[in-house]
Amino acid sequence: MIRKRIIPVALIDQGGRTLTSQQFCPWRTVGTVAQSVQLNSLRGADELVVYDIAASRNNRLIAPEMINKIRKFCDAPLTIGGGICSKDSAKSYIQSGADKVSKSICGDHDLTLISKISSMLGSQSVVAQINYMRDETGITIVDYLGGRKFKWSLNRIIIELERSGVGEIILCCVSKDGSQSGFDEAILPQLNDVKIGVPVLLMGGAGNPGDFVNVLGNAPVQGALGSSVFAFSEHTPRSVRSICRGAGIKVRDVGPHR
Amino acid sequence: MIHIVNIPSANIVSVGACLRRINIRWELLTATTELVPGSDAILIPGVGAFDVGATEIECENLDMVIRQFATKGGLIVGICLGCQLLLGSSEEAPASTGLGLLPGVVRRLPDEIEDRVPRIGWAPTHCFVPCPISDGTMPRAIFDELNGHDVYFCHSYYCDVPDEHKIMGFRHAEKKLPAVIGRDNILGFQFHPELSGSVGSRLLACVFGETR
Repeated sequence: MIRKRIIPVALIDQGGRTLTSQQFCPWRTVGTVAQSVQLNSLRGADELVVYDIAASRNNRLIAPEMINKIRKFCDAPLTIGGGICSKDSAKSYIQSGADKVSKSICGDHDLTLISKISSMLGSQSVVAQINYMRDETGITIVDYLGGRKFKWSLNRIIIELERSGVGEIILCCVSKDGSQSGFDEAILPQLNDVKIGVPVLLMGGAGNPGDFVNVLGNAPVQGALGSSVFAFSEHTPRSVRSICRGAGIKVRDVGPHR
Repeated sequence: MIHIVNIPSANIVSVGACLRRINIRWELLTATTELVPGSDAILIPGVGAFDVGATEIECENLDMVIRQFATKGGLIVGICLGCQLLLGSSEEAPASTGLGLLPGVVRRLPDEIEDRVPRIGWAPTHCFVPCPISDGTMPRAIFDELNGHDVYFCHSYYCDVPDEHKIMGFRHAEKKLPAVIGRDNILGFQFHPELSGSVGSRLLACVFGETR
């Protein structure tokens, strides 16, 4: 069986500074992207995700030189997101050094785009991110660009995304972003009900290894992303993995070579 | 020198970065490149849909270059989509034709609750016994070394080849499916050695060892 993945995520701005955010607002600069991906790569990340958080807002792409530079410092599988607005922009990210591309879903039009990208790159290289807020009444899907609530339910978006040929879905709980208070575990029963076929990754709230243990034991959850936990705590992807292994979760065995 | 086939949707920079780390020189393959078996090798990289890759290779007339080099005994290595393109056809795009350097058909991975498709992430690979590769033609020892190690996969399809071309396998939906396929001078990796950490780099260094 495929191993569960521990995935550091680096949020960057146009200049390549790495930031952490709280509820999607940039909060603190924690270094440079080269430093961040190199450290996490060395510290045994199973994959790395890098998002340019201002690219889509400013209608620009991530510069090829920036992706090239990130690739140079990273020998782990690399997903790049931010600014993707067409099939060609997704292709250009792969050509510049990414292995997969990620697109936040902000409206129906993004489903059409996902389908175009996956027919070119193959499903396996196309990741869709769904951003949602949680309050006492339940969850609301949000379009982080327009600040609007999405009219569709989570189930409907997931079904439509699978139909569009998406390869993987990141469920990002914006209410948890930067809180380090644990992933949104309340989403887990719903995931089992929807019967998602593609791998699901969770994002938002990772603060310590126990948070990863709590979600990775669930069948649909194939991986979990963390940003602040790797920037502000003593934990590394390797130490988190080792604690997950101790808890009986099947994670990568790096072997004697490393 | 390694000559990488320029499939626009492929992660060429990613493969190139790995080759550079292990001090292997590479350039892009063109229809006019003069290739010498023994000192040159062709690498067909991954990422992309089967029809996109197949069309691109044909458009640039690279299919003839690759087939001729294979006939002369030149080393041809495919990664992920590149591995699948070594076969003649794929369920992903029934109207498209692959290189046909190995017999078999590319099939969609069976869907299972525990084994999701696309199949993305790290998983162990194990040797098929007996190893179908004869001593001397391929660095067999590297496959013994790779046996049991976790490597990085990212695919929805797999190469269904006859037993004599199955070198290493992975478990999926209670079956052992091919992770490494080949014969003599043709070698395909369904996983991504370039993304598989030090064990993957050692694999590539060993496979391309004589063509630096």
